[in-house]
Amino acid sequence: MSSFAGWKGGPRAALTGFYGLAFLAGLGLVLWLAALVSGMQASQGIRGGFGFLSEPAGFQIPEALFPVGPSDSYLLVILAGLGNTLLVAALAIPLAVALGTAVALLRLFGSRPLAWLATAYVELFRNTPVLLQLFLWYGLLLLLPPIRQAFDPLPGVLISNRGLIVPALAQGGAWLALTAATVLALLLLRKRVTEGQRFWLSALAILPLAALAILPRPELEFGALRGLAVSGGWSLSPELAALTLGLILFHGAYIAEVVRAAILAVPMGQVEAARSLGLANGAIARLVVAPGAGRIALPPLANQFLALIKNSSLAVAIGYPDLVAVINTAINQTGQAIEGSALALGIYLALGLCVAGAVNLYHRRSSYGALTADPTERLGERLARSPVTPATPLARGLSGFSYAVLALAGLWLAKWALWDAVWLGPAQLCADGAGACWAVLAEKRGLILFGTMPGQAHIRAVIGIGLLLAAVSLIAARGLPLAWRAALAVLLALVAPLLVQGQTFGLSPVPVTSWGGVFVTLLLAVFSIGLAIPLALPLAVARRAATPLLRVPATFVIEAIRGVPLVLLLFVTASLLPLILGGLAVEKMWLVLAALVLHGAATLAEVWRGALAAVPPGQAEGAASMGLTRWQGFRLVVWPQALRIALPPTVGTIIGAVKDTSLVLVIGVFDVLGAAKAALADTLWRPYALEVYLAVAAFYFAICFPLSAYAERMRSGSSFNR
Amino acid sequence: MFETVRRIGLAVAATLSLPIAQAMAGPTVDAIKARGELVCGVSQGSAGLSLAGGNGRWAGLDVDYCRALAAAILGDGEKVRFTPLSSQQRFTALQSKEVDVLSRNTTITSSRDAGLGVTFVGTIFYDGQGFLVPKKLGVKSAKELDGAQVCVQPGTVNEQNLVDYFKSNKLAFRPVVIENLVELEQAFYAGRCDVYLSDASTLSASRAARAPKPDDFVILPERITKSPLGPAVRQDDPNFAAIARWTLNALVAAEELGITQANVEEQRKSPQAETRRLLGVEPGLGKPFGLDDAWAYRVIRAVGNYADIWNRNLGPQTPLGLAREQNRLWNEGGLLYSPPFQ
Repeated sequence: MSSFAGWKGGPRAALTGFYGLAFLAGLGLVLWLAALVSGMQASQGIRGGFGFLSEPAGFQIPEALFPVGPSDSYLLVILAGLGNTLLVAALAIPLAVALGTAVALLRLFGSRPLAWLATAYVELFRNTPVLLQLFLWYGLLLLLPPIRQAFDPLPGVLISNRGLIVPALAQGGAWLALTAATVLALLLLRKRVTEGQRFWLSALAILPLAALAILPRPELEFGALRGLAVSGGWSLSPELAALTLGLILFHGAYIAEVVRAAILAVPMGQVEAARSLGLANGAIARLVVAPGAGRIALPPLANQFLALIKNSSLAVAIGYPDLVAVINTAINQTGQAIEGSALALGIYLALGLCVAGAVNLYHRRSSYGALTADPTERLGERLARSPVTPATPLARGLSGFSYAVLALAGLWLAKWALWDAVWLGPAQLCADGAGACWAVLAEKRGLILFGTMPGQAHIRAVIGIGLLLAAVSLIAARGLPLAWRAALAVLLALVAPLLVQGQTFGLSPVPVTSWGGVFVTLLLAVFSIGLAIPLALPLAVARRAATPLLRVPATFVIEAIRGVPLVLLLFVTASLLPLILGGLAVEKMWLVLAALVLHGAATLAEVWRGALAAVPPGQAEGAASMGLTRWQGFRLVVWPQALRIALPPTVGTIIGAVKDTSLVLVIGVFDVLGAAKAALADTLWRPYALEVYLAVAAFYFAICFPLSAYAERMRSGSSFNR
Repeated sequence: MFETVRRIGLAVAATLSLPIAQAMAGPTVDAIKARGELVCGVSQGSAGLSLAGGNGRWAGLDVDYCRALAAAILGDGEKVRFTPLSSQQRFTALQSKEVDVLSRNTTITSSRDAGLGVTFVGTIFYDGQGFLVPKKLGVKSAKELDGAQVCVQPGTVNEQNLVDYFKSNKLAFRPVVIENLVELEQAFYAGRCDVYLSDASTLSASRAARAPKPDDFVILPERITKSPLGPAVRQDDPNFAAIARWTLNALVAAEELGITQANVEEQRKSPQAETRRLLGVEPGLGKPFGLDDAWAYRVIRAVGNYADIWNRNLGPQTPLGLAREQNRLWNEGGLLYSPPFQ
């Protein structure tokens, strides 16, 4: 703020003025874009504007929190979609936190097979794309019996592939609410009143009984199949169930890692202080470890909440009408892609800023900094030395049982995937067989591995894949100095696309638009991460800068990009930008790459900002007192420490970036997943989607798991405060 | 004096006519020729219409139309770059000049034709939406579908037609809207929905390939709407639109005249005036389009006539096994009809 010191009215007024200017600049930018767009639309004969919002939507959405039909306006239907998005977030976030915490505790303190299972769950779910997981859960829910043979465990409860139907409250909601309020009041007030008052308080209990005479009595309404439709009862659709379940399990795995790291980072001194006060283990866990870990875990947890809200936009793939699904339909019917996308962008930005704002507020109030700055030993270091689970007979019995279940499941899987499998041949052979149909992979291998690249480019693509992998392993290798390895890796990585394109080497050119398959996935992954890293560092530093001139734009860029679902960002960059600018002389592939780089950089910048904040301020002051310049202090003292803290979440972000490349299929680039889906468009082979999805999941796992294992080795190998 | 005026007049005419002669071919054709290939927007995978094969080669009705257009303009049906597009981005891709032509099983509607800055050049496939139901549901007519759960793809005209149909018959329904055909069909055959609504062609193909027992499912007699599919181009280049329109007509005209991919060389020797004109034996066909006279001959040589394309991609010998029905020639009881080439 020192640059503003000379201003009249002091820094505060200057700051207000600056925010005002920034706001005006932003407004001007938006207006300029709007003028550009409407000019382009007028010249091409496209009907523009937001007028369509008040027109009747003409399509019906399957479910909503409030009744909405085809004759309602687009605006109302879009609001219903927003309601659905919020509903999924409200259901999935608390459950994902509960699951994640339970799994983290199992990993830390469970018996061996349970801890192993917990680890397997985390690794499997973290290292495969969430889109594939959603397909899997939806497919499994569809295996439930059809509605006419519904499973009926309790009267009025129906479980089928139409969803879960339970009795609904037909009337008497008011009476139930009154009873609940009375019971709550009794429970809360019980301890706060004197002996004499307690009698009168008990008299309150008569209230609901008396009300029973006046208010309508509660009555349950049972759902049943009448004609084709189920009427009555309250139902949970398989689409909502699959989406919620998928998001809980996927983000639960990430949250488990966040919680585990947070528990391990609780200062040992606090635990010992509690023990010396005579607190029991349970009380220490509840009163000391839990609040401490909670505070450490909050920023990365907030990241997960944001990611969960954004990932709920994948709902369109399994038929749940969330915000993006509804807006997509609106875009399709009206053709107004720019307006629809702007609306979706605005809503997600607002949601994202709300979450980020709430967390920042909480963050500022809590003593997070003090906790991470505590220089004593951490819980994690103590745990590493002393295993805590004593083996009781019960625990041993449980272990044996778990092993048996695991072995049986393994056998059944092996029978399906190996013994009964069809490895080669036409689709009819698979239809007659009982096991997996790997023949679909043999039949479609060209498309899945190389997309629609011409045959002569296949060998080039293979070499390109080799070059990219070599570049990545060079970075992780030891031996030569880092600068040499980095330079060599950049060279190798740059040669890969040039070789596949061919012109530079005098080969017949293979146009970028025809690239596809494994090469595209690897190319996008390597380049998006490689370019995001150098972009993220200045962003993170700028966001922590004292002067708002740097801080405000950096914050805006980071939050704006982080707050928007990547699918939407890709669509805007690769489809709308060329339209608005009247055509761009850049291949779509590079626009896609630019969007991935921006997204990766914003996410990484946030991770690194957290790490920089966790370095005790004393370190920088110490460096300054030794006569180092600010830059030297940063480079030699602060950054190395921040990097050590940030390494595991950085690798987590990189894994996320690898998996995110699978979203490019929404804008028509045939990466591995896109090519796999194109292969499944063939009616003959469509029944064997599961085998293709499993193969793609295995591909992502093979890339991501080594990365995540590397991060784990780094974490256990490095101590927090050395 | 007159001589001078005449010379000046000629010079002026020459100066004026030069840009006119260039404009004959139009900016889109110029761009395609400079690039050396046609960029064609197709679906990300739709059996029989546009589908990338196991070796990465595209096949289908929509794909063959683009090959025909490339043969007309560039002389080679293989000089096409296919760009797969999702249903959301298809019109944006055409508007932003990412593709030259959109040949992506797109239904022709008035609002699309008039409101999106695009022009549909004709109908390549007459389809209509129908209902597929399991036989054991005991439903004989769509009028008995009150309260049904309907599996349908989002953002297509299908979804709007569904609303209109049920509303006008005072029936209730609940949609299950899934974008991806793999998941949508999985949901229907698992019993998640009572009804699968789609183009009749899609339904019969799906029933043949995906149903555990195809005979357990029946397509109800009602067709709830017309669904004519056709290619679209940008409306700002009338000459390119004309080439695109008459390439489509040439496919139909060739079938009318009995010219096939197999006999096109022989047919060039035919005495029939219409055949000779279409195949460029008599001069005059190409000039108004800014093309040479043999462009339609090259189209037939590259992909054949409409029947050739149909049999290759959708006909009885293919996994889809569709009957021509409405897509027969007008004089055989269908709707295909080419205006005269003259």
